[in-house]
Amino acid sequence: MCVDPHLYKATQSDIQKLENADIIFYNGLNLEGKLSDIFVRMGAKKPTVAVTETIPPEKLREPGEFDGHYDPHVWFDISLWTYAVERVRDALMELDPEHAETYRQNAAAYMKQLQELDGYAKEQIAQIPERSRVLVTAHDAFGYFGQAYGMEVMGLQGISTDAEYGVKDVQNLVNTLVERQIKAVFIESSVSPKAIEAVVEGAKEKGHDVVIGGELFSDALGAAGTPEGTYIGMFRYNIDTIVNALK
Amino acid sequence: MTRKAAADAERTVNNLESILPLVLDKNFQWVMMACVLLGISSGMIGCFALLKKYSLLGDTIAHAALPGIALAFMLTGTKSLDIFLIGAAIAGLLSATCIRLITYHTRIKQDTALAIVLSVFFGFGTVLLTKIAQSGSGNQAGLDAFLFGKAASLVSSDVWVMAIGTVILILLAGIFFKELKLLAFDPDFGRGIGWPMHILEGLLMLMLVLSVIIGLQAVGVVLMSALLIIPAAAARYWTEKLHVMLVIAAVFGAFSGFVGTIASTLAPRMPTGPLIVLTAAGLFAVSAFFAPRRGWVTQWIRKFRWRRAFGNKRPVLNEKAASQD
Repeated sequence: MCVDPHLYKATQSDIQKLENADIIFYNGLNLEGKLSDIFVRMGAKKPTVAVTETIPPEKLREPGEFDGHYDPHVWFDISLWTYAVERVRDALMELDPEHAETYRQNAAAYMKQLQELDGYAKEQIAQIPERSRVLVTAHDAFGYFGQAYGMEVMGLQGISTDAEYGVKDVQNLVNTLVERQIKAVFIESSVSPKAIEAVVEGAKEKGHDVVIGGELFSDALGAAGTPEGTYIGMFRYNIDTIVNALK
Repeated sequence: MTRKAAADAERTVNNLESILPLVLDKNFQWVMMACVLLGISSGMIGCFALLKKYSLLGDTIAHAALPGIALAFMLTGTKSLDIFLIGAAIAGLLSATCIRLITYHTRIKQDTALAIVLSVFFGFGTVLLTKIAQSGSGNQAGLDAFLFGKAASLVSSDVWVMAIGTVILILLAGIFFKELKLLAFDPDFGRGIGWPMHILEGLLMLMLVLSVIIGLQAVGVVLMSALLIIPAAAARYWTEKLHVMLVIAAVFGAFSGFVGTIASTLAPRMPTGPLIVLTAAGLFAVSAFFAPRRGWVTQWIRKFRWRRAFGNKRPVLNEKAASQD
């Protein structure tokens, strides 16, 4: 899905696609805010699986600003996303037992790739000086990412792209950037770049140059057919972008 | 200087010192200047719109900007403020023209025409946004943010756009003051003496489009139409003279921008745009209650005094007649 999933509303043709599907996978944990009702209805007709449902609750983040909900952006911690792969594998094996062995093999191969990716991420992030391991973005989708890879995460907006912010929020962030000499901030693909540009300009007025480190993928993958259109490509792109800007 | 005055002065200096870093902050200054300018221009133009019963035209133009922005993005593929402004302005002008054509050439009244144009343009814009969303570029976001403005992230370039826009609007209102006044109060008379009222109406719509477009990305659709209506409506309570009303509305608008920005600076998580509109609404409430002559409370007090003076007593003549009995 290539738009902000918190706010995405289904069109009639999307419903049609869901109607025609053999099985439906979705993230869950309230990520697809406006679609939950549709998934519940579909669940009565065909297997409908929230891929995050087997992640042990104690591994989920429950930050205050989420109003008692879990942070849904679990895919940024590869060790948690492995649960999702297992959940998909099990659901497919149940739906189509004839090819169970194929699903098992494919999942095993994919998990190996994920492990390599995890190793790559840790190795790359180690190149950033410890003091500069701060990720500033306009949307705090990176809570799990920060936790898994030892980066402090700071955002301008609250949990969802719905949230409003004021002058004080912008000022606080500008002051932090200047005080801690953070070199780059990141725009995400599904958040308006205007928010972070005000921060960059504000810091420049205080004599501290902050560059926009590039766009990170947060809630959306890149266009289909490009490397960033897959999970692994997207993750690798994010890691490279962050490390290049901050090291 | 007495000791008390000295202490007072010292306290003021201390207060100033705690506010000073806040005021010197560039982000604050940009947002403040932009919002004050916006308050001035929309307060002023709002007066003409209010008197001409065009208040909701601003709302329509603001909503109509959505397809303009979406098309501008589809044609150019870039998220550039200038291109969006041009797209929004063209769509806004087109919507205003549609409203005029519908009201002049059909039997449909203006309020219905406004509603038709607003919903058709906004609906078309939503279709385009969905199309962009499904085209797979993963890059559409920020388009609707443009429509729902984030005042807190205004920067120096925005201040320039608004300053130029506001100056143009003040000049236009100054040059054509007499003409616009006639348009607002007695267009039939104007037509009678041979003034081109259609062109003047077009001019007023052009001014509205300009003021909506420059404010749109700052405070968004809903708040923009609020700023066009509320300061003007509040100003109407204080005066019977158009030029005074313009100044009062501009001051109310500027004050709302000022207070809204300050309030949003005092604590985190205080969205700037909505606070500005709340301030304007507060000014309106004060005006509606306490304005001399027209305010509810003042009118009530006048009635009360009247009653206390003359109370249940009959008019004087009758009283005399009654005592003679």
